[in-house]
Amino acid sequence: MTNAISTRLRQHGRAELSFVADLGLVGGHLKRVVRHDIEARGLNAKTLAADLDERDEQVENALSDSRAYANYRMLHRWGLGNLTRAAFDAFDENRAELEPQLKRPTKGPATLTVPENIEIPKYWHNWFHNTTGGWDGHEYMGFIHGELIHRWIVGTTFPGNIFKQREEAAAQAPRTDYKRVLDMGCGTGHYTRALTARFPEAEIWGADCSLRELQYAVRVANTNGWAWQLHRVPNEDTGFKSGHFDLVTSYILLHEVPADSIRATFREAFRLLEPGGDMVMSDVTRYQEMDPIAVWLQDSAAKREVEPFWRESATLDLKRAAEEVGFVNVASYGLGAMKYPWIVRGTKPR
Amino acid sequence: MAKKKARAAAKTTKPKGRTSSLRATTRAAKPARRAVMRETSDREFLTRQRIEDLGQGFVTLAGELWVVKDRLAVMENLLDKHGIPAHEIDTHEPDEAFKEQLAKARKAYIQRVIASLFPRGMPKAG
Repeated sequence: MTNAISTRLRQHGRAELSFVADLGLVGGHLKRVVRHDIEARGLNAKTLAADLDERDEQVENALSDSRAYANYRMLHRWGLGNLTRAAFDAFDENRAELEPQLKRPTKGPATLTVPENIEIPKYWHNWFHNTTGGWDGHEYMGFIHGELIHRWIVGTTFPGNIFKQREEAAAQAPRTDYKRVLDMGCGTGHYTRALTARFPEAEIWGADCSLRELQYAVRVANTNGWAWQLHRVPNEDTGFKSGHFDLVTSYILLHEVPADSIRATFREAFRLLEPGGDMVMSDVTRYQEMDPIAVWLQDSAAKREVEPFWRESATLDLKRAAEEVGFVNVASYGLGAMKYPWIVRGTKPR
Repeated sequence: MAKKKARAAAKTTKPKGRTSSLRATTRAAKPARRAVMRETSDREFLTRQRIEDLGQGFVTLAGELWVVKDRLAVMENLLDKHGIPAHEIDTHEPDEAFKEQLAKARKAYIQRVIASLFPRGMPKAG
């Protein structure tokens, strides 16, 4: 893969983004210390409340004297408040070099279709991940989020290899001879790239609500000669022709939307698939697969990180949701020891 | 001591119908999305007893920062004297070996700063 834009950063931005990333690693260590503190206070699967809100109160009270917890939260808050700011600053410091590249028209086989009068779901306007301004919060948010935040920071702090995880998710599709593949919530195309590598003969489509992310995805595709067909449409109602695809898939999309939208997305995937076609959706680890302390750590972090739908997604029975819209041979499972990403896949009956 | 008790009592006085500010936050979290804005904006984690820890951390950080500022000034001065424009620092791309050296130093630096927030240094996980 060829990078669409040179991400050489000047000293300040380079040093600060590296600092933010490494600080995140220390935060990860403190999180493990917090876990130890919770256990040391006698809280475990037997003593923790089943209700997540009651458990939250229980753990918060138990940790009132934990220095590790106070400092973990303080660092987390700093990270949330400074992640996007540092990326914006790094962009501004390098604007003279980056902007001409990002303004240069792209030539290549990729297309971006932006239909008029589409209805973007209300929830999408939230500021996901505490990202300042939301997905379209900066003229060059595709580059800023896709490269500076996701590749530079998340890529070095998130457990495992975030790009390898995408390749592994794509490999969960039961066939390799798909003709038309749709990536729902494709963003800047990190997963779309994995799909292109996995299914080199297939026509690759992408759908997303963010114009800024899609604009950058077009650039990524054209730089590499990939004929992605990108559309600014919501996953729940794409407007695409029924039965057009033989694989509809997504990566870590579902926890960004309310449970009703997950069901609507599955319904739309079912409509878009030809008989015999496959749906492969991947998302965060299910709470039922995690121990109660891990659930608390995740659930409370999700609240702070402005992930308003994480809980309802992580507790939704995805297998049942897929079966309810008509999929058969539905399987629901996690990959690797971390059970991440979580996969739900099914087939539209012939 | 009396003042402390009074403050504590004032803190635990809650409006009718709310058992605690935390409960108010968490009980509203069904669904969780409603709790988000409160959760991220209201809570105070560096409470009074943590201020001393924070002060220690700040002083350590300030000391580290001055060491860097001093070194940078010396370096830029030397560079200029030897005919290398100091502004090239901005655009210099570290090679792999130097990147590794920077990463090692940065991680150690962060460890040292964060460890200073704990009286006995960075705690172990377990």
